[in-house]
Amino acid sequence: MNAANASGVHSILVVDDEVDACENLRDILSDLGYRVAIARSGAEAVEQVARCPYDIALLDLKMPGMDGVTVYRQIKRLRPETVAIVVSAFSGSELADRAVEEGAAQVVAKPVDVPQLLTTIEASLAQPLILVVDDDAEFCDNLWQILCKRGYRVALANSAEEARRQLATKSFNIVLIDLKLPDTKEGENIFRTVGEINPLARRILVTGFRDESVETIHRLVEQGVDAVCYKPIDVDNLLKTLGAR
Amino acid sequence: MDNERIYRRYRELQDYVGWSEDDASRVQKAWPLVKAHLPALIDDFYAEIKRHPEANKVFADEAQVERLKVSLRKWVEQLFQGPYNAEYAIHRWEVGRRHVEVGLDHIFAHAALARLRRGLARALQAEWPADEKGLNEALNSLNTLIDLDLAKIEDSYAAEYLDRLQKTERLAAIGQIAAGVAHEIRNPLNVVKTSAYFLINAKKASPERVAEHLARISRQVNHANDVITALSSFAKPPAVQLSSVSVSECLKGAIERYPPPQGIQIVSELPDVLPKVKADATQLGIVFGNLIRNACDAMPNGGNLTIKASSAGEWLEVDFMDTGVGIAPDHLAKITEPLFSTKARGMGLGLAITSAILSKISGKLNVTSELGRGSVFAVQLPVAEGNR
Repeated sequence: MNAANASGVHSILVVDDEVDACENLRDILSDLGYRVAIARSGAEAVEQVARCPYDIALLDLKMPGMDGVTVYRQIKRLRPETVAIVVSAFSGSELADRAVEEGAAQVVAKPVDVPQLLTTIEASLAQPLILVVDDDAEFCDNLWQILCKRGYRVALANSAEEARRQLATKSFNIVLIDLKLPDTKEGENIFRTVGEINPLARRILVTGFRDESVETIHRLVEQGVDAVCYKPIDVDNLLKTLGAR
Repeated sequence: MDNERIYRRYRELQDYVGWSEDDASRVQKAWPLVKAHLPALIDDFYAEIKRHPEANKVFADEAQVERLKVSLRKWVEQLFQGPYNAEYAIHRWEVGRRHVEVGLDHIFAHAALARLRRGLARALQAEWPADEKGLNEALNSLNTLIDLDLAKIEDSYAAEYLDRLQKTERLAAIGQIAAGVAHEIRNPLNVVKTSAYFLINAKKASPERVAEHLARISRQVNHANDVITALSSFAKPPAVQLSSVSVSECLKGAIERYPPPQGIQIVSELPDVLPKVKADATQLGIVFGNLIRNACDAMPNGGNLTIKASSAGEWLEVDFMDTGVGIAPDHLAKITEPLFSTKARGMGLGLAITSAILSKISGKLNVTSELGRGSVFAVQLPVAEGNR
């Protein structure tokens, strides 16, 4: 089950300062049914991502102004669920290594082997899409790092409002909800919203309050909560829970 | 360095210090007196080296030290007995070479020889019959000879070291070129390959789309070819053909070849009458083209490129003034070095080619720049005879 945006079509942003390279990937990918946009510079790419989300960003590394790694860092800050695939004439370079460290899914060498690139794109889109709803920014960041390395695409929402916005634009496979957001009510509301908008998404509760919230948890489990994880999170346990279908 | 040259340089040194047959015979006469001391001196020589970790680290094992003792003995025997000919000089040369090979710091060659020199002098003083004048003369000759040896060792050390440095630099330059070429060639290849993929695999491709991709392939092949041309013309520049050249026409051609991108205005401030310059029209066109392109690259957010020309006496000056990002002071000295570039595109040959062409047509390039304000590239060209 792939997660797509509301329209069901996957979107790809092609970023390269060489116009012909952009146009070619656009022609190839739109012919295959993807929605493709082009950015001729890093700044343009960041602007476009701020305006609307893309499932995948194909990033050239060496560009005037902003290099591909810097572009990815900024994209990540805006929409951390975006998959970055680096396309570079220097696939073995230090910059390429840094992109991978930052969380880029793959480095593809120029000249691009298109069938290989298509396989990479499909594999990226097959990665489960998770929404983490938690107002603790550091916890979100840690979770992002852990899950990204395990082959998940991770979107973050630090408020109920933001979570609702994200749920309206994408269909998620899994939603992790912190029950105290900032009060239990909000968490419960999000839990219901997910059920309404994304009925197929698995809902996992995260909570730091074992005793006080026992009742609420019982209630929510009856209503369809998939699993409950207690803070501090046991990472192995969480990964097992996420992997179980 | 070939053997003949090694010996010739040795002869020069001998002449320089005034080495004579008398010196040679005085040293040779001393040999029977120091011979018996030699084993002790050699032992002392290596014992001292072993006390210094930096020097000692070049020895692999005891067996090697034993072998070296044998060659040191040979070296001292040759020192006292001569003959001080080509073979002698080449042997000294080889010693220095060997030091570089094993990684011995050359200060140890000096220190070790100084120790040996003192040991030999002590042995000579102990054995010398009561004739102080003769002793002093013998010591002088011996010292001169050892100094000559040391000079020879130094000479080979420097030559070998330089050789190695050049080899390293050559490899580094090849690496730099490879990286530049990789980027500049793989990008056009990437377009060619993806266009080919589209043409072969596209499910729905209109005739216009197909024509577009074919044009793209052709354009990118040209681009890749230009990269190779630039590289080979830098490596082997074409010969200059000097004639009287009109700067205005040359500039006009260059601007047509490199039209400024949107947002950049070229302001031409050329006097109506300008003397012709003595130059190669094609290559001066390359110079102007490179400077225009660079100025445009320096103004990614737009700006003005003012091109001004004036003449005074034998010289005509063309200034290219941009309102771009400027050049960092520590980059200014390097901009004409080949393969130096701060840009994402290009190999860093433009200004290297520019300055090579200018020096061949007796022109000059002066660059001043202010970060954030812009740069001025001033080209000075010799006015053609009969035009001054």
